[in-house]
Amino acid sequence: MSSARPELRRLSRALDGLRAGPSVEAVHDVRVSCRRLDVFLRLGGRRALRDDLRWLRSSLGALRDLDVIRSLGVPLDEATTRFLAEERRRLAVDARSLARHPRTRALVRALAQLPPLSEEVAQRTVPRLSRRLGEADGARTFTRLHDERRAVRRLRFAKEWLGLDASGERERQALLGVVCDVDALRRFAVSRKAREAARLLSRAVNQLVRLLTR
Amino acid sequence: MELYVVRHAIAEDGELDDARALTEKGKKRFEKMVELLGRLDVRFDRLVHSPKRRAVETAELLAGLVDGDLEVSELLTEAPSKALLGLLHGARVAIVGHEPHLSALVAWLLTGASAGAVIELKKGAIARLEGDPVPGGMRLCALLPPRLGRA
Repeated sequence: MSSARPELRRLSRALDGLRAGPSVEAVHDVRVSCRRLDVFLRLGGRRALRDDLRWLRSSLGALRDLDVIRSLGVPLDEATTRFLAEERRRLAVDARSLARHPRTRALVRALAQLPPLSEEVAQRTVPRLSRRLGEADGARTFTRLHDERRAVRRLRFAKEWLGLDASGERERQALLGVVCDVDALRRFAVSRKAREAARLLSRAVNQLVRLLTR
Repeated sequence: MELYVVRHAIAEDGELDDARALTEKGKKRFEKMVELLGRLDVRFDRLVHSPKRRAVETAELLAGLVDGDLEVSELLTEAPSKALLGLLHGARVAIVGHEPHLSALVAWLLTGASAGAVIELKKGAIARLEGDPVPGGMRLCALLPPRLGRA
């Protein structure tokens, strides 16, 4: 029987990092822990606390997108670099408040009381997650690819909770992640009205989608 | 708004209060209450519950009736406060919590005074209030004792 405790400890450490920084790693780790715990709850057929996990994760979405853009190492002009740094400072203030938010505190308190996963119940959920992946498979558009990435990630975490081999899912998730990262950059170019860059990035995304769905 | 004030179902005894789970009997009895609400076509826009395990498990049983979000709040483990009233927004909201705070909340919403409970909520009971979620701004429309689910 799997326990949520180790993951909850990781979440608590990442929340400490969020309060202190927030570093790129802390933001990423909070989001990953939220996703892992969401799958833990799904495997147990639970609904309560999943909305709270989604709230916490999505509240850090803009900051994570920005960190992704900065990590891609794309040469940017001075004004854009300055803009990104200022945006990060602004979003970092929100992230620190989020770590101290009463809803975050209540969520951690409630998660600490979760019973271990019943493998019998969990095993029934895995085929459903696999079916979801099957439905998203064969994607020919970015949106479908995005759905596939989500489905792969859930199946990967589910298998990891159950101690099963998830190397195939991990590999596929990493590949799909590259496309999503380039798309984050494309959306940023659109928001900055950098039309030529947006056009080139859009082409890159389409080519990557074609490559991955071949 | 319609406010459903729900006391958690019957729970185990235990030294760690946060960790007390619902008993099988508590779950079964409360499932009957959920069925009753379903027969009455009750749906919730949102549900706010305490982080204690017995409240989380009671909220879980109600989750099928919730169209919007479930939210966990420590404010339901304390005496009622203005901050708690701030969480009560929506057309049909359910809250799952503990005594004596729920009775104090109901008294506050009905009479404007928080001292002295005006109703007693048994484990698994549900009070339905209507009006504005401000002190003295609501009226009691129904009090569903847990035995009603078994009727």
